[in-house]
Amino acid sequence: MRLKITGVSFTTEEDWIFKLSDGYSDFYVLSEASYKSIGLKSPIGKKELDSWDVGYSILCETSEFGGQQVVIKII
Amino acid sequence: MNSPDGGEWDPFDGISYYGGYGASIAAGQSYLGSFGGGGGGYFSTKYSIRFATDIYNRNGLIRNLNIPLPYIASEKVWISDPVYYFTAPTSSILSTPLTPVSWLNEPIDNIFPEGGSLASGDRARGIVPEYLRRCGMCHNPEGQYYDALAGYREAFPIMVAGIMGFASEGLMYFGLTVKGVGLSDDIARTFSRRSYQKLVLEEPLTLSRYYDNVNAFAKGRYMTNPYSLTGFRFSDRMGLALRPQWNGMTKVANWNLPIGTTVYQGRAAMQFPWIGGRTQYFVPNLTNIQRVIR
Repeated sequence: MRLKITGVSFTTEEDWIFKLSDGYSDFYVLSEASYKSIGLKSPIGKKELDSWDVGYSILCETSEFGGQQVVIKII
Repeated sequence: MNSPDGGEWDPFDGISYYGGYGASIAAGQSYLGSFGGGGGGYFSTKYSIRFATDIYNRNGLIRNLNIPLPYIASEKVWISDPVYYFTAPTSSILSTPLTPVSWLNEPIDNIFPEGGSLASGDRARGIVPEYLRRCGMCHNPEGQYYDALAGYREAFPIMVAGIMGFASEGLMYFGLTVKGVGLSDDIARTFSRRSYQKLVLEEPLTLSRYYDNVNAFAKGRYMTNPYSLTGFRFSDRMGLALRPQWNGMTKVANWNLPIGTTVYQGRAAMQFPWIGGRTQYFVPNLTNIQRVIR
């Protein structure tokens, strides 16, 4: 699905790095530690951290973990 | 402009002189103006004049001299072998004469000994711009690549910030470069040893970044000091640890960061086989930065 970035957080205050939306629900690209805790590998790297910003839209796959919609793959 | 050796030699492309005292050494951004090589002088960019002068090449700090810039600025060109050797006369930038040395075979301390200083009236006969410009990344006799100037670049900010604890101009450097706190580990691990420091700019700062408009764009969060770009793509890729699939490095963008901008500074972490080690900035908020066209 295509999601639009609505928020970024590079600090340890949040467990997510990018907050995204499809217009109805919120989705999250989590921190690497958070992905690790649910047994997944972070789908983003330095390249995405470099350029992704609010307003940017991405194609991705998502899944629900603990009531939170999480991006699991960037297409 | 041609060098006395007959090769191309851009006087603005080599050594830069930075002045200042206290922690401004670490910042080295106190730009006051430029002067060229009038009358044959090949010294390039002049920075602030205080009680000391720091000599930078594009890769970082080489050494600090306890002498104001004007003593140096009035000096003339020094002719050198622009390839792998350089010589200096007795009245050199160092207090002792230098003989021809091979960069690749000599420890950096033999080339720029600790404690070398310029006495008043000595002639600041230079250091080979072309030669140093290509030495941001060297390999040792064992064939391992290393950043020959990294120690100097790191040592001065740490020493000055630790001892002085204040800055008179430029960026403020408080504390030592230690394992950073605050950034998510996703970003922290892009800094060598996860060491970085958070800076809130008290003066505008210009930073540069490579981009290719395919995978990396002009506007992005990872930047570096303009003077650390050598123009040699392989060397810069190695020092900044930019994987080819991330960044084709075909263009350079310069950005002006206004006062109050928060940046995180450290050294680029290795992205194997790209070893990193050059100064890297992470700029979380790109909203207020302004493109600088040079």
